[in-house]
Amino acid sequence: MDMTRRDFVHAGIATASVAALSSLGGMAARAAPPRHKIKRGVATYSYQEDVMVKQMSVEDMFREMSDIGAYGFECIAEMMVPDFPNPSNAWIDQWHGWVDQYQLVPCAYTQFIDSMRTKHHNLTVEEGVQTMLRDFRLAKRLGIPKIRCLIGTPVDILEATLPYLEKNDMWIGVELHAPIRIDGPLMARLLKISEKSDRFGFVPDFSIFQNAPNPFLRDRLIRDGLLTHAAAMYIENSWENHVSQAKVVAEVAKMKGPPTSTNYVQTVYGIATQNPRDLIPFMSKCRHIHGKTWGLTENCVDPAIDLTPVVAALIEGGYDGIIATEYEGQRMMDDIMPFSAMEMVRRHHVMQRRLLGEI
Amino acid sequence: MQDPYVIMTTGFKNSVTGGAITGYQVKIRIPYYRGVYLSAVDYLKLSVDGVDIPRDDLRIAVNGRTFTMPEMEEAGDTRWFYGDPATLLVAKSGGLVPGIHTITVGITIRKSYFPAQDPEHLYDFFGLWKSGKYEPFIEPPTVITKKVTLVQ
Repeated sequence: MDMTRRDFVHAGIATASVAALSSLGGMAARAAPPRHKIKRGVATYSYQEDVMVKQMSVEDMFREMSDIGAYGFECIAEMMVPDFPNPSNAWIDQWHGWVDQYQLVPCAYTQFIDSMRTKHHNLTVEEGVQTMLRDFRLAKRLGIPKIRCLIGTPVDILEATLPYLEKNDMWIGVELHAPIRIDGPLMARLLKISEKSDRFGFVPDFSIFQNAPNPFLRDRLIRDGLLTHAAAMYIENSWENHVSQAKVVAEVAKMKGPPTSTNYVQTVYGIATQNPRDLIPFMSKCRHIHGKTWGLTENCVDPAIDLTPVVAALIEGGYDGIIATEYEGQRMMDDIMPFSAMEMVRRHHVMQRRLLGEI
Repeated sequence: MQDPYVIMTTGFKNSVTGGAITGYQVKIRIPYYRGVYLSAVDYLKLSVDGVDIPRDDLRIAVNGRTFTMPEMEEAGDTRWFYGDPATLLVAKSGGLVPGIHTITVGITIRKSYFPAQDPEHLYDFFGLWKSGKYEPFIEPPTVITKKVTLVQ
């Protein structure tokens, strides 16, 4: 593969850092982070709120991602490409101008199969393949080599698409999103497909590593009057102490407050943290990653998804690609902190910099 | 999602045809994070001042083309682009009285996050299988209400 200017700059920085460290002796060498190929990235999904009201243009996104030092990004074409799926050649030229100017690598393209196309007609396999080819064509024009498919993409359409990957020089990854289990039946089925082509793999989403209740959701429910603070604390403490779900539902039903408080029991008890080390055996099939977050504190800590063991597993497994920060807390924050995405993505990148040993 | 920005203030006005007020119109943005084929609008309901607009009196216009509700459901080749308004057009002789009105939009986008069928039982864990039967998932409508002033 050709080395891009961006790669060259990064390689130069890495060489300089190694030289600096070796001159500092053993102490600094021990403090140095393990060598890895993980790069910081952004999923443009994050900026949806700003894009919706047109206060953030495509170029604004490039500028922001460049300002925070992202290596690359994942593109939702249906959110940002005018005249989707057939933008003008002039617009495509402009796109490549931005890619060069802001030194960002367009790493992945989010595909939407829309299998229930109209109320009265579901996509046939052939129509599904045609939809994939439509997206391959646009991804190619955008200079993007990797496609992220959603978990609900019908497996027969995925299988029928395999023969087209080589010819189109494309890679497809299906997202591994909660509550999908790495050891579950859907994953087993997808792994079988992946044995037929090394151009087919997975896009882990950090939702599968959620290890604590999401306080941004909880606080919004409280502000909306759908949950009491007392019930929330009782539910979270009970979950931490492995109290049975049935008992907690019964107790919450007896508490003062709206009946919707019991819904939060299901939310919290639905957390099923998976072991990031379970990804290691097939890390070579993971060429893109979704860095899901619902928000971070002002100290740049994600209270719901601890990435410390996750990043360690990615390094051990030799993951080579970006962690595309996908901020998904817009609708939890829009009453008290509208247009929170740029701030939250920035916080996520400070956290990534710490974990990756950059700061 | 993005509820605060769905019903737009700009564009709320009576419709004039041949010098007569024949109805009114209001613009909405798609409550999602991407554009969709117009046919993916699974459900659309407009109420004004607490009165539901009959389906036959409602049209939706995107990209300069106007669709009846049955036409919208089949518009599998028309994109409603993200952030771009769709105009809801209501036929009502005399339109609306100038002043503030309560607009309520109920809308569902058919997102196809899960397949229409699941012959291999791969999606059991999403609760889509109930008593031995698979039901494709379609979200309940998002209902958004906003007070907007109509001048003319």
